[in-house]
Amino acid sequence: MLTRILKALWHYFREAAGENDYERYRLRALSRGEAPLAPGAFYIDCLNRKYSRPNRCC
Amino acid sequence: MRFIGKVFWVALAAVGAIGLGLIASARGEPLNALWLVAAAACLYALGYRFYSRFVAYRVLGLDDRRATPAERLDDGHDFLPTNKWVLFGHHFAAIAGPGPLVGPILAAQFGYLPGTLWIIIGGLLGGCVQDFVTLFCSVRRDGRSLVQMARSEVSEFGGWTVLFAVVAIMTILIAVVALVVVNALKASPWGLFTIAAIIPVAFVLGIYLRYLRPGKVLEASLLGFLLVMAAVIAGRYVAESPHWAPYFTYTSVTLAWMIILYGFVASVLPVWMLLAPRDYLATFIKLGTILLLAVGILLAHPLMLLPPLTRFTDGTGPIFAGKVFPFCFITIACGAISGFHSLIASGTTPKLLTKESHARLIGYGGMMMESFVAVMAMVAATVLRPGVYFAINSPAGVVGALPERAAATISGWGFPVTSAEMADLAHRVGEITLFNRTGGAPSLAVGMAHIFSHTLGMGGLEAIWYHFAIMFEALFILTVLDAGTRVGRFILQDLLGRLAPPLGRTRWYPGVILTSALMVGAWGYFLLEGVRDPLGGINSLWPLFGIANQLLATVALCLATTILLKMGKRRYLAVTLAPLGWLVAVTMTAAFEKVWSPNPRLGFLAHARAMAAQLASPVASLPAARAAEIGRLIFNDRLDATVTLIFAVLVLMILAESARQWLLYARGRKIAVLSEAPAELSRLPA
Repeated sequence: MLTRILKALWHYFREAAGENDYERYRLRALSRGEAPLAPGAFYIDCLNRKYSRPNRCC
Repeated sequence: MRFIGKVFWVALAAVGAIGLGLIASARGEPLNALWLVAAAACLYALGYRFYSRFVAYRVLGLDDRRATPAERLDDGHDFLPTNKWVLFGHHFAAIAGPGPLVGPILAAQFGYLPGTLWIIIGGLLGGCVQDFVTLFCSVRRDGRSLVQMARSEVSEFGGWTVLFAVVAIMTILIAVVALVVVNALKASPWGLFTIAAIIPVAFVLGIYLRYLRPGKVLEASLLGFLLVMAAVIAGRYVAESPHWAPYFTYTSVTLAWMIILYGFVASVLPVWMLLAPRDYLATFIKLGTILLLAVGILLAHPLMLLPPLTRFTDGTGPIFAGKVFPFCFITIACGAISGFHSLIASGTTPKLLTKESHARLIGYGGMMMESFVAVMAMVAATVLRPGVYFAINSPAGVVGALPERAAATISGWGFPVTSAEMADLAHRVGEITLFNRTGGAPSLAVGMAHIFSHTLGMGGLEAIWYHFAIMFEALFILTVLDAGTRVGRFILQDLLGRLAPPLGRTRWYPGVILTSALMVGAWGYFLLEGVRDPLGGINSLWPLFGIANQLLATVALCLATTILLKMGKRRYLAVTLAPLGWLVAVTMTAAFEKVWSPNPRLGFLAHARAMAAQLASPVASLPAARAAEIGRLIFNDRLDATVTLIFAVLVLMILAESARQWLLYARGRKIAVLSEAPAELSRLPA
């Protein structure tokens, strides 16, 4: 029971931290026949999108 | 609802009512803070279960059969159906800033009762509704921003007002939170060392995430946390070192220039290098510390030593001038309602929402959590003895710069405190002094240190907890500072790019540097003004921020009311009109008093007149430097009055324009056309 809870929490934190985002993006790009960005380039692209609009409040 | 369910909710309501009754009527013996927490928790549960449900299904008509833009426009980047709990975490991390921590601390000068009532009631009926309805409106409009919605649903003028308000709010907000950090770090080598250490740590994390392990945020954040904690512990040795301490001990003005430089550099450098890694670190520490504070309050169950009401409800408060109405509400700001949240709620979040019903948890529930953070901050303020609280938060211009004089003044108000007691407290938390440490951060840190050190037998770590709390608050604030400067720069580039196209290119470095300098220059000016203000910059800047923030909330609620009217929900207009009416009354009264009050501590123009009288006095011959300083103070007062008037006029213009539209719709003189995206059936499971 405790192991299950901890696993669920770990999965949640990984998802919330965006650690699965690249894999999801890569599979999607491949399914569309597109060449995916390298992990580093994808990471930079995500950051630029995130910080180009108000995303941190008072 | 089943019978057992009804019994449960009635019991919860009874507990909440008892808790509220106790905290409102407490006199003499201090009450346990758990009553405040219990009352808040019960009311939040009731508000979420009943009021948010009413708003969701009766007023807005959330419909999970409709595909959200995340589903219809799914591009794997900007639009992407996201797990509601993950999205809740992102949204809460985005909206949770220093406001709900600092505002309640400052508002506690009236006693804990007015602020607590506003945090809970204003949150449930105002802030949560604003966030929820804005999120819903944006979801129905393919994730359009507040500016775009204001333009299409209210008027072109409404859109421009929002844009101007965003830049203005950001400028004042960054200046005032930077002032909070300056006041927390002045003459504090331990604190400054810890915060300064965050910068190289962030660079290390930036390189780690960019080149070594792209996207591995959790492990990078864990590494960063360990390094920052090492800095918190090492700070003691720096502070005690006669060789190193002077390198980390500076005056307010010098610290202000350091922060200005940091803000400029952080917003100009590539985002992966400093801003993003520091933000990841800040987010995890922020969320973890909030959770720790909640657990700490439950375990320590401290007594509330601050009374429910103090004598300063009469408007003569040392921390900021003005009576409970309107200044308690202006000061609490984000702890109850924040116009800035409407930008977040119409930013990334609506593009990631999988189902419309998730908006209730994320929009309403997210703001409810933030309101609860404000309640915890209020608890942290109340665990301080009133004399200690006022000794930390009162500016030198009011109580005197010397410890004995300050202690005597505060004791004379009926809040006993001695300079020896404050010296002992400063020593225990590893500070040189805790007198005149205005801005709210040091007193919050003392309160948090008290709670943490009384939990799990960690009494000997008060200094470590204090500096951990300072680090946590400063991280919160640096996030607002650099991310806010960057966004402000983007908006400026967008506006200036219409006049000179190269300036609008975000990759053209001369343009980046120029617009960053403009943005930093704007908030840097107000920061320096606040640092040099003898009445304590918080007295003038925080109300300005509060008024500006509530201006944006007014715009968001005007938009929400317009959309509800267009949806044919006339009988439910009170849901947005009631908080709107209250906000307008509060903002207008605050603006009027800040500009025209004859009290020089309260009214900008009265203070300018008092300064001018000093300058013109034939009796006193002032040194040239003092005369120049007074001249600058007069200019700043008039500037602050002008900015306040501009905010007030904008609120009235938006209100007038909105009211005109409402009357036209109500009388059938204008056909209500909703600009919602076409409804498509959702294929995603509920």
